[in-house]
Amino acid sequence: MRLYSKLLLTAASLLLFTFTGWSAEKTVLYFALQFGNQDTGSPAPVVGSKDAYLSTLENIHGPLKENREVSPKVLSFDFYKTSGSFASGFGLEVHSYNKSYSFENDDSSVNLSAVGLLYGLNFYYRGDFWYPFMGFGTGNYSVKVEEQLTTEGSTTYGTVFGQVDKPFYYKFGVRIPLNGIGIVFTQQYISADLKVETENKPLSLGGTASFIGLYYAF
Amino acid sequence: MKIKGLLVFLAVLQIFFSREESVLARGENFGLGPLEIRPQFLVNQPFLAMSPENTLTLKDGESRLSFGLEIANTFVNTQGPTGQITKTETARGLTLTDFLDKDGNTVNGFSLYLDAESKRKKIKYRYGLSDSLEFKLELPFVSFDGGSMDSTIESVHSMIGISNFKKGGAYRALSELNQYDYYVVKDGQFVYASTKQIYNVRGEPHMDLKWNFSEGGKVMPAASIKLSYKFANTDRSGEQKLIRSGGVDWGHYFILSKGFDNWIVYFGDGQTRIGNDHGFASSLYHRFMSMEYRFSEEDSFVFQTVSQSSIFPTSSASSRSTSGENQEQRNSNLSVPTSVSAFGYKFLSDLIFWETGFVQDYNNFGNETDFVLFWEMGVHW
Repeated sequence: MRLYSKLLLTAASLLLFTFTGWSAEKTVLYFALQFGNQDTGSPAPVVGSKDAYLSTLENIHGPLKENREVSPKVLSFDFYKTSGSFASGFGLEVHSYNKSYSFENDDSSVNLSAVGLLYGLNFYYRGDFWYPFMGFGTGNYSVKVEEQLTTEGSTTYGTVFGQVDKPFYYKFGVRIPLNGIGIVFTQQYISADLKVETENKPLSLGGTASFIGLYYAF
Repeated sequence: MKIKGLLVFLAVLQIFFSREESVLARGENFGLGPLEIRPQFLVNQPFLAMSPENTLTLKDGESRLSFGLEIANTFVNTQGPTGQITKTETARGLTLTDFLDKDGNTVNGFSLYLDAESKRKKIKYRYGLSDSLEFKLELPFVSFDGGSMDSTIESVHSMIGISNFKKGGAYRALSELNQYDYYVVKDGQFVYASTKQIYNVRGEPHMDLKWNFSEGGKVMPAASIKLSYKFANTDRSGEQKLIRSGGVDWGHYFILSKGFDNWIVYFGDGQTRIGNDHGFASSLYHRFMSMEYRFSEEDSFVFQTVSQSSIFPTSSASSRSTSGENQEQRNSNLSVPTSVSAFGYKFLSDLIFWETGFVQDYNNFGNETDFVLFWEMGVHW
């Protein structure tokens, strides 16, 4: 509890000093919570490539019953240093999602849970009513893949842990400020392929994503 | 070759974009630096491990002498899901049969029972060889014992809804509080088997050379490269083998920093090459990202994430079975790269240096510490 209290105190101090130490014209901080869809089967243009893990299983167990879309929750923290109407800054975002896949021809299934910690540089234009931005960066994804595969009456089980060490993402979007809080739209492209040991084939954890959320600026 | 190529690329960009700015903007890309905490996982302790560091170096002729203490609580019970190792088995002393799978078969790859608190004390001396070149010598003294943090950690788990009887709580409730056990099994044979607590065993010293080859500018970040070399001490008798590898290790870290007013962002990528790996990984890859918020010129708050490849190499164990999830599948998380987050506070005046913080894992893999507290303080002249 004492440690927890100290953490709260440190966080409170950080916010206090941040608020009183900077003029709003020079540096801006954002916290945002976003939701949306991410098509892991649609490779990020230029930097992504088609994966093969699930398609290999489809050849044996039939087509997937579900599509490749996942629904990540995204919590992000950004800060910008402004210079006139333009700004540059740094952002940190946590993505998390779960997905279960099943197949048409038998009772096989694959469960996937992933957590991504992404960070990178952002560039930003401060208009009168909307703030468009773009950014790029890297980070890591931690993932667990659980298989239960049925072939001719026998079932095999597999568990694969993994981490994608060098994902790459780029994104663009817009913030619409509404008196301290605001709405943020983000289009994000992520290249993050995990080699699944059981098939020795890559599985895309990234893809093409669209998010909408609320942010708080201070 | 990759490093050389990157350095050339940065140097060329530097000339084009920030040659005139760098002098005018001197210092804007420097802060008090990332948290200088190395991986504390028990099995990593005998080996060199590259730690994050500031891009800034001491100036010519400056010195800093510091003392640090890192306390890490580690608990891993790969037999937890089947309840094969509990208080009863640890009380009588573990044998190889405790590490067989539930059907009595030998488990391929690594299995662990680690219940320990490590205390790594370190004495560091830094010296500025020039305005951009810094030398460091570090000597560690390491203790392994039962510690005192187990009950606090279990209470925190319970408070936030994590069961100490399940994977999220590392099956801690199956074991006694504040006990010391250090067992590592590979392919059915003990690599380490120790219940003898050790105190202040002198580890192998290492020295660093750090070169800040660019201060950056408005566009480009500051950039430094650090080279580390660990000396070999071949006396590994008794429990000293848990602290000393007996081989020469060396490594590098390439570090960038960029300032945005009171925020400084750091990024580093590096590698440790292990000379005498004793069947563990022969190299480790490291990467970190830090965000420093400067309360003032003298003190900062730092948030940091560190990723690292595992000290356990990938085993030849099959990742599929016909009898449900088995021991080898569960243990495969030992060889996965992992990440931790850290928070800390740094203070630096003309005379005094102080750093403190903590590290928390968030992947629940078996190759990382549960909780680390660290302090470092020193004088600067």
